[in-house]
Amino acid sequence: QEMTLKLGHLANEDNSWHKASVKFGEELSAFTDGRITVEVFPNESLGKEIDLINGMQLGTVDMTITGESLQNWAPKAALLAVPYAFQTIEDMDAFASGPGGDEIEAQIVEKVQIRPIAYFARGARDLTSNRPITTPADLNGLKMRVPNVPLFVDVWSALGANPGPMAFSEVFTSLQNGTIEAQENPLALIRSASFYEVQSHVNLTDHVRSWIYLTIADATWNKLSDEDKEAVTEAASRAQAYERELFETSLAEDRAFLEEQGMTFVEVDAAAFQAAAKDAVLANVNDEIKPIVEDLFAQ
Amino acid sequence: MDVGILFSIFVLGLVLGIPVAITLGLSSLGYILVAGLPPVVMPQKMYAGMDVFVLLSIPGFILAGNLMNQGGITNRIIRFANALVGWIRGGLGLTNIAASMLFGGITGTAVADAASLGGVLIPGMKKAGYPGDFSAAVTAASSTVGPIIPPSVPMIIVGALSGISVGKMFLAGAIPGILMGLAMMVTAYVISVRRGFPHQPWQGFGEVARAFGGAIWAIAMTFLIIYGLLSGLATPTETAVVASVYAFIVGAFIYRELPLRAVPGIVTNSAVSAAGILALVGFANVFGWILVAERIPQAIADGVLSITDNRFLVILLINLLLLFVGMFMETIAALIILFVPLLSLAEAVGIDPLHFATFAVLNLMIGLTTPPVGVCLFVCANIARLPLSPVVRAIMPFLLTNILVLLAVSYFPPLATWLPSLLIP
Amino acid sequence: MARIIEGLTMVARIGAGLAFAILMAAVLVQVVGRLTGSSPVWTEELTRYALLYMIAFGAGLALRTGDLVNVDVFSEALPGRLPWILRLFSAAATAGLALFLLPHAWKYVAIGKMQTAPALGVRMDVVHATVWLMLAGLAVFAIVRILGMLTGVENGLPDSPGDE
Ligand code: NA
Ligand code: NA
Repeated sequence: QEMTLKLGHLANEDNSWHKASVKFGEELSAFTDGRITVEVFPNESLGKEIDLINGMQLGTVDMTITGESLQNWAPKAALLAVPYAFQTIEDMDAFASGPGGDEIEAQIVEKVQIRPIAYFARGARDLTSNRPITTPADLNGLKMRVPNVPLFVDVWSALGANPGPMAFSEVFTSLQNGTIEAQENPLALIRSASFYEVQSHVNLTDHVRSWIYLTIADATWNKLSDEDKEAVTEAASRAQAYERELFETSLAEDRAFLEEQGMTFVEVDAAAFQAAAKDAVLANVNDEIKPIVEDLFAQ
Repeated sequence: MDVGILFSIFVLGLVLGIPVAITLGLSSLGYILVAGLPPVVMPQKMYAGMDVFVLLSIPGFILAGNLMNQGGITNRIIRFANALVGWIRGGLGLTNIAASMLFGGITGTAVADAASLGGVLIPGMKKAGYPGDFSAAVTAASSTVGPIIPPSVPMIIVGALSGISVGKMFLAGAIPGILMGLAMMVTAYVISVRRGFPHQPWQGFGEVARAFGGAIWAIAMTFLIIYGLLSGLATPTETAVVASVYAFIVGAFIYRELPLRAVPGIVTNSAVSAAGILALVGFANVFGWILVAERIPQAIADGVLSITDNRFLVILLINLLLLFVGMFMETIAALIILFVPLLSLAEAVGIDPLHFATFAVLNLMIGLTTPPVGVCLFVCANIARLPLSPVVRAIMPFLLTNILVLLAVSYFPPLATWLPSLLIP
Repeated sequence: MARIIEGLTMVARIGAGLAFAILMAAVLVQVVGRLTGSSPVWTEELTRYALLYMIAFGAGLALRTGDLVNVDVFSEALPGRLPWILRLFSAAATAGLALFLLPHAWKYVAIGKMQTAPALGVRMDVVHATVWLMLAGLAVFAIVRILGMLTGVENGLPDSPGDE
């Protein structure tokens, strides 16, 4: 039967997630001879992340791109944002596409009633500030914004900063007028939110390496024939490969762009940060993922 | 045509006098049922529309205004304004406008300004020999500077809709608001000379100083709000709450006119006013979501761009559309429905979002004083115990003045953008 | 009838005022926290939820006071009993809309059970319930207005908010 899937996400049209979403639609449409089409709504125009997830549970939205926010439903999704859990992107890939990743995905299907069908790597989160920070001692009460993730607050407090959660929309002005002195995000977001206008340094803390899922509502999934499910899965895996190519070129591009805008990139004492963060992470992650995190830290 | 249902129920509801919030809800529900969408999307989108961070500042600013208002501020502001400009011909008319500008630094909505200043000034002007139509008109026209001079509820709503910084918008409104007030004073003076309105004797610098001393705490509030936003001490929400605490202290302990037992009632009334606005925002969010799902913003932008991509003409078209809509529609509902569509159009021809937000809000404020639907016009005619038509005639010169200021702000962006770029570098 | 109106109004006013007070307190804690260098993680969430409860309790009252924004210039200018009839119709339309949406809002409340708030740890159905409560408030106060108008206790015009 004919079907139009509504896919909403928060990134802008230039973002690789958006391009991969469009690619997913094209592939799916080709596989199903145009029976299934995908309408993509970027820039939160269909709703914000939590609202879209709620919409998928209620049958008003079909697809979205979402990650660690899922821990509000499925505790294991907290693994998508554990500071210093993965040293390199290869470590992260091995975990996300391995049995650990499968466990997370199974819990998401069960508890959120939405189904991950592909994952995209995210740039590592780095700390921006107006002075170089190379060791935890340099933080020295730095007033910084973190997203509303209690673990991030705990870890940055343990490192010696003064972190506070703040809505993303408030960050730029707050950096500008000095309400906060620092924030942490992947390079792509530092670029798209123009933080280079109000921050001078990117400290390469690489403290969170994570990924994000392309998801489809379980209700929508169950309406599909077996053949169409296979088409969705195949289209998703092509979108994932396509996104990875874009991601790798964008990492280098973003750094070059930010340097051109006058930002200084600072190498940090990663081992010192990691050592200082570990205990705080273990003390504050939920019990369900604690053994997994202990295991990851032991590697 | 599903969208046809949406708009027909909307217009019908407004004509029948159903509250705007409910009209938005009924028309959205009509669309949802005809389009075969699950109705659960309505509560979901209402929740999403109300759970927005910057909206948190609305109740705080409303409370601060109400506390100041009941804490003896109105008379002090009027006295100070009168000491400054009362000696000029048509002095009470000028006093009225100057008081609105000072009051504008406290209230975030025009209706609050019209009702509280009008309640004192319209009877006062009539007693001093001014005709009722002029008294009502000058009060209504000048009340609209309230939400242009910071703080401003409409600008907070724009911030919630578009992510434009509320602090920057507040600053962007300062110069246009002052300009509008001064321009109306010129108009009021010319009318007063022509119609031979009275004036009072100059009361001396001593009275100016004494009146300033009385009003200083009220005037300081505007600066407290701007300082809070600029200094980095507080977000708009925090500023609003701190401003309420300040207004409470001034009213209760400095002016000593705010009885403590009245405070719970004022807090509750402010909560109800804010709840009304926010419920409206909730229902309107469903309406706005339908417009986006139907890709109406894109269609409007494409439609206009297919006629012209000349920035001068696009600004003119946007102003004409907003003036027309403002004649019939309530400000916040108009903002929620039109702001995002018109913003995509404005950005397509290279208009700075901050500049666009300023002249869009200015435009809809003018709409509060235009017939047939102008809330401030109704409030003031009511206080003056006059039918609408003479007040409408009397407000025409002020309306023209304000439209001239609107055109100046529309075509000379620095009036809006210079101050924020200076203060938030 | 008048006593019922008074009682319901009292309950809703206490709820709205209390929620607003909590909102203010949470924001003040946040300001003080940042100035002293230790902002608690829960203030942002608590202020948002308090606002939603304030709307939930206040919306029905806003219907009575005209704060839902009435544009009644056409309808009130009509001759004879027509304005009264339109006011009755308007209350009926409000009640109809709210009652129709209540069961759907309940579905939205129900999906909140699966979700918890990140900082406060409360189950989100407690927060989603504000939409249901707001619609229920609108329905109750609209029905009360209809009954009040039919029994002649009130004329259906907005109450003045400053009366209390
Ligand atoms: Na104002
Ligand atoms: Na109007």
